Amino acid sequence: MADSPAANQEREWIKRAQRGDAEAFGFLVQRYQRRVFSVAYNLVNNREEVEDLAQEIFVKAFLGIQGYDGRSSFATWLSRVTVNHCYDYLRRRRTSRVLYFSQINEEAQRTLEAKAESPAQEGINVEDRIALRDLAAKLLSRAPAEDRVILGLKELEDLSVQEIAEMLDLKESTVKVRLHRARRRMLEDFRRWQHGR
Amino acid sequence: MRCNEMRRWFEDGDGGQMPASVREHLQTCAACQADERDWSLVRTGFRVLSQEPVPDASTGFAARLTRRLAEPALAGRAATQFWDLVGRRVILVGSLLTLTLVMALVLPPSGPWRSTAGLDLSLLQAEVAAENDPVLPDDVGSSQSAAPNVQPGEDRKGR
Repeated sequence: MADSPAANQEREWIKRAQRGDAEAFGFLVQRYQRRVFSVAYNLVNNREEVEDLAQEIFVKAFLGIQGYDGRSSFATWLSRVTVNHCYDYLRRRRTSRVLYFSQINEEAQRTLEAKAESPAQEGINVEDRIALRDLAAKLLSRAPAEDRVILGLKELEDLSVQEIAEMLDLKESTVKVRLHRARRRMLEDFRRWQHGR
Repeated sequence: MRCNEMRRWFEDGDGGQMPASVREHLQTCAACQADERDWSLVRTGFRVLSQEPVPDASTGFAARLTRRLAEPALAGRAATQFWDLVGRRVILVGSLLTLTLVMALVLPPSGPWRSTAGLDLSLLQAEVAAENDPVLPDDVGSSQSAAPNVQPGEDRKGR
């Protein structure tokens, strides 16, 4: 079966980048920067640092692209590099500052308010929704790096267990167990936080 | 339904419709009820969080990055890593070939002939050992001189 021209083009860029061609890698950056920004932002939840992180991720990917053997798609491989880099970053940071709703810029606030008022999310008013948003951000910031990564991929990136398994190079059963443990730990932390209020 | 089944639904939880059996179990189990209530609160928070717009790359992000990657230090590192990888593979293949050649020269040929020969040799060694074991020519001479075959009465007669 013939590949699409875009896929052929991408394979060509990858081959050239593997020989150290920065320009060819630049085309891959353009194609995947949005995805890298999204995964990195959802894992670290830090607007100010996401661009620096993305830059480090692409440099790391460029230096390691010889290791890409085409067994998975380039997007999956790059997402794996992103997740590993964010995991290291979260472990180094240990605690990270929570960005509360009131600290989000105006444009993001308007978008969020519009989405919060959408009919698909009936039952809870906007203020409660925003309080829950801040709570989720706080719980994520306190969670161990491993839990944060797996919950970020599942709950924020909205990936399936199968996609997470492929991205992290794990079995699906392992991903399920880790998700369960991460949710359980987060619930315990939530209850501790409730009692301590 | 038991808590285990509820837990399984919770593990697989993809935000889909709650099955009737899970709903029934929740009516009777306070612990699972609390889990479900608390998790749905946290999950709502996640949902709102996931709707936040992802920050865009600043203008010229890819171009700046490409320039940085093309700088001699980074490009050199990338090229070095490429040749390192190629070099490592050449060395690995060369080592394997050398090892195979050495093994082919040093080790005797394998197969049924080798095992039979080994067996014959060991049997032969056992036979030779058995033949040589009872008396050596030197041993015969020395044992005769040390213990002459003399009857007890002959000595007294000879005197």
